[in-house]
Amino acid sequence: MKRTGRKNEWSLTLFAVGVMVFFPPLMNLFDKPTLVLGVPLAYLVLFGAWGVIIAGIWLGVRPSAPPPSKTARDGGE
Amino acid sequence: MAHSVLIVEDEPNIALSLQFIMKRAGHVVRVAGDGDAALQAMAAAAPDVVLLDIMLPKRDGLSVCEAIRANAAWKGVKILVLSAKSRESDREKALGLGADDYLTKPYSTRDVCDRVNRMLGLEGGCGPSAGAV
Amino acid sequence: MQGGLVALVSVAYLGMLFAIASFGDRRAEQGRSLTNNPYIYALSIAVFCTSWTFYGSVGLAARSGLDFLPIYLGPTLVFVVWPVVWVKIIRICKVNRITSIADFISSRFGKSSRLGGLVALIAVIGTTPYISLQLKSVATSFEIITGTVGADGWGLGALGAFGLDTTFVIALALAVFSILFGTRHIDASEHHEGIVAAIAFESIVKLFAFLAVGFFVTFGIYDGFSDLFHKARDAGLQKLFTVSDGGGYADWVTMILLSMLAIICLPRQFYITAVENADENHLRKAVWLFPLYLLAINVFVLPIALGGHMAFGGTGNADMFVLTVPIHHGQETLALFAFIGGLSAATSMVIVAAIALSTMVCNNIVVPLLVNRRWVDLERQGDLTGLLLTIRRTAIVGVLILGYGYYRFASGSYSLVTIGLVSFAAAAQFAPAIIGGIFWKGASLKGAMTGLALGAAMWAYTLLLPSFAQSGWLPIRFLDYGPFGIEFLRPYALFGMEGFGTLSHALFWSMLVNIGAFVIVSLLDRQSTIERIQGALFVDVFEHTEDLRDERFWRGSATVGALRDLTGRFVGEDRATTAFQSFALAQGRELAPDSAADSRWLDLAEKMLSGAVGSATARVMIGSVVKGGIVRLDEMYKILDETSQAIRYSRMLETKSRELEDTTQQLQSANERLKELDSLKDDFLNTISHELRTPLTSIRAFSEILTDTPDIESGQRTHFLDVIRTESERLTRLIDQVLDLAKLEAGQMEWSVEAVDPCPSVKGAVAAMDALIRERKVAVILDVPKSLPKVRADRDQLMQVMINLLSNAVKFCRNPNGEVRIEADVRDGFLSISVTDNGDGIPPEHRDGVFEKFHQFNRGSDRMPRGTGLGLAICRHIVTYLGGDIRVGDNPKGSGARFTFTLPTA
Repeated sequence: MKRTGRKNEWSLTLFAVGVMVFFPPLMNLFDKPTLVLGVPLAYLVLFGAWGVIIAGIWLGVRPSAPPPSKTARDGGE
Repeated sequence: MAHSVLIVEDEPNIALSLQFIMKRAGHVVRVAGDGDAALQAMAAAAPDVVLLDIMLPKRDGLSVCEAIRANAAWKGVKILVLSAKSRESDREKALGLGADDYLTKPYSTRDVCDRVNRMLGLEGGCGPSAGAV
Repeated sequence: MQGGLVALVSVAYLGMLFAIASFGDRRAEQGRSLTNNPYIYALSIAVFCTSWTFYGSVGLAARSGLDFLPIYLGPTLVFVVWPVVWVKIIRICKVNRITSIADFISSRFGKSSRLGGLVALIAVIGTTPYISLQLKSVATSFEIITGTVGADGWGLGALGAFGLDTTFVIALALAVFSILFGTRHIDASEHHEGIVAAIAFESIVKLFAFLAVGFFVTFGIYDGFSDLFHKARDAGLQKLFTVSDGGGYADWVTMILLSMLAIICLPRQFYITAVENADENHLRKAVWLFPLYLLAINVFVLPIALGGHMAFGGTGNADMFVLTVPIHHGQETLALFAFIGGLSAATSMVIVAAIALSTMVCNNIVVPLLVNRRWVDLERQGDLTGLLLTIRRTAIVGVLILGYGYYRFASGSYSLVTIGLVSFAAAAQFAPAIIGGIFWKGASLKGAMTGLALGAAMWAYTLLLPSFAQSGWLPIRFLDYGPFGIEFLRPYALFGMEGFGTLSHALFWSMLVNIGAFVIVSLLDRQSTIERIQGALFVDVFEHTEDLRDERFWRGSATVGALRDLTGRFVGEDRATTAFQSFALAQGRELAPDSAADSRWLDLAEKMLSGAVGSATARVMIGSVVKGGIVRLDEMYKILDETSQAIRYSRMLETKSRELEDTTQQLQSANERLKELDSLKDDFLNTISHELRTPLTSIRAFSEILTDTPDIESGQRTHFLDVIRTESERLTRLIDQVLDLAKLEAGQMEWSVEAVDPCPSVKGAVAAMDALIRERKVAVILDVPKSLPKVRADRDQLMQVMINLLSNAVKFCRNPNGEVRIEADVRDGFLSISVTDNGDGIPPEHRDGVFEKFHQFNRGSDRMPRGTGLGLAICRHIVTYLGGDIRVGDNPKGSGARFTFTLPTA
């Protein structure tokens, strides 16, 4: 598997986002018992951010410009 | 009374000259040609002064000097080393072994005379100078 | 619900798992791998979700709201940076054919078996609470689901009569199951495809079971999320809606960090993610599928917890809400499904952990012990498979019994999550060695060893021992007042550090000593060669392997052809081919290059290679081919080449240092020679000085005497003047000779070499010495033929030689009847002239020395005649220059010495 610098940058950015959301002090902002759209704010934000990050990973691993041999190999899976 | 001098010298001509000036100064003189002979002469009769060469056959002068100083009976014997060895270290070595004085060849006979007299506690210069001048 | 039914369903479920595993193994044998699939891979990683997730998360949520989330957010963050972490670890595992986390760490740090053993030991101890957690959850859930309709005395209850409790039976059942699954055979590549398939299936079951309960609670009991949360708020459960109810985020952050480390360092996670990975490309899907799985299984945790709270009014075991809530609402089938889900969560963890641990115990503890202690002669014992399987099976049983023991004696007072976190903290101790090991080449064996040992000790002191204390195994005073009443050492407030949760506290101290020791010792330590090599292989793994992607790597095992080629490159292709063919024939088979090579082929290749490159290297090379060729042959050559270069270099160094030594020695001897020459020169000058001073002394003394003694007798005066004259002559002669010698030695003498008649020179010399001869009363006999052939010589120098020899002979011939004989002879084109005296002669030990300048020795007891000590030296110089030689011997006719020199005739 060829790893490119681009992929590392993307994953590190995503990691930074995750650390920001999941760690204080940003957590103080939404860690409140109020219900938004019928669910607790913290629950909504944490699961929402989680989902966004997973989507981010998915975006990062999509073979954006795969070398020809690579697609052939992936096709075999 | 006359003092006795033992000349230890292997060069006959040098021994002759020393013998002459010592006699002239009024001393009783004996001559030994090598180290062993010197110690034999010492044993026979201890002199007041020994004029000692260093480069001697059989037993060198330093060894003779040491032997003299090792014997308590010869405590009062004065030793004047006369050597062709001119380095300061040779001089120190000889004095270290108990020599009383050290003169480097070629010396002045007048010096030799003076030093011997001083060792013997005699006043004034050598006898001949009085006669000479 | 009837216990019998539950037991039956459970057994049926386990049977199904077994069927799936067998199917997976069969497919693998057929080469149609079931698990060579990213989805199966992702689901197998979900072994992370155990009964802790299935039951414990809900319990935790019911107690403190969203605090259950960090355990899943942490792993998600690690998978975010998968290109940095996972690809590297997986690549390293494939390249080095790693079979476990202990293998990984020991391999990184110079293949140290002691480190591997330590890791395995910590892994076993650290995993024990985790396994006990699974046992506890299965036992509790079993009791709950059978107890709701009243135990009918059937099933496991009956076993109680035999003194066995439910949990022990379950532990044994899981042990048997793990043995059946994990140790059916020893696979060279340590891949267990059947297990992976079964684990993936279990992940599906537990996910759907949990989702089913979640759906039921959220949409069956309540009218969706909004309704549920509103009703919960109305019931006063708002404090469960948040992460922190004002107590800060220290534990939250700690748990995220801890779970980040755990997802990498838990032995079973490492095993499933890295070791069982079939294809690096599977990561591409797993890195987002696994976090998605985590998210999915957590969505309903809070709703179920809230539902349970509202159903039981805050009473009841919150850890079992997943079961009790459906039962409370009469959904027995759903409860049974949930039970099976919980069972699958527990069994998957136990099976994988047991297999991973048994591999470590076997490979990193027992086998090294057996080999080192020579309890088993591996060389002689042929097939060790049976022994290895027995060890692993025993290890599995042992691990489960340990887990059961911890459950019985220590885990009673703890919730599921607390027990799990104890294990997490233990696994986290591996993190510095792993993370440091793959990014920092300087990390050393001693550093890893020290850090790991200290970290594990700190973990045991601050988490494991307290859990014993709370269970009454140790006096509880230990917790409150410290050991022996030393409050400073209280395990929950070590060194007086208070105000943190026990977990944060333990993690802080254990990581501080672990990382601190790891870094400091590594910095102070000097790595051995193997450590440096392994360090470079791990840290720079991509540099070795990145360009290999189009080649056939990732092969499961070596082919016979590959082995033959490898061997051929070292022992010669023909020889290798012949050997392989005859080996195949001996087994009654054709040589099939594409067939997989079994251990007999490996043996053959290794033996042949050992002869060529030594056994250690052979083993490495065979290993490289077998492990799938990821370290390709040319890679191997590179290593070999580097090795041989190193050897050549060190040989060069050796040669250089030998040369240097030689040079030093030469310098030393040259220096000594110089010193010698210097002292010779010094001696020479001293001697010259002495020789000059002696006649001068006489001259000066007699001059002064003559001056100071005017009245001297005339006879004496004449004598003294004579002395002055002879001493002056002596002085002059000496000066002349010194100058002559200096000229001769410096090669500046002017020569006029011609055909010379020797007779006039000889006679001239005798005439010149006439005075001395008379004085000494020595008879000189000239016994020379009338005509002598001419010689090639310098007339003056020839004369000089004759004079020197003659004067020596006359002077030293101290015999009353002194006689000096001069003879000449011609032989072989050389004229030889000898001068013989009848004196005392020269002792043999002095004969070599007499020709040295200033060599004088005492020849008698009486006064020694004085020469200058230069005459013979000058003679030798002249004769040698003219092409002859000069030597000294005895007088053939009695005592005395004979000097003979030769000269070439003209």
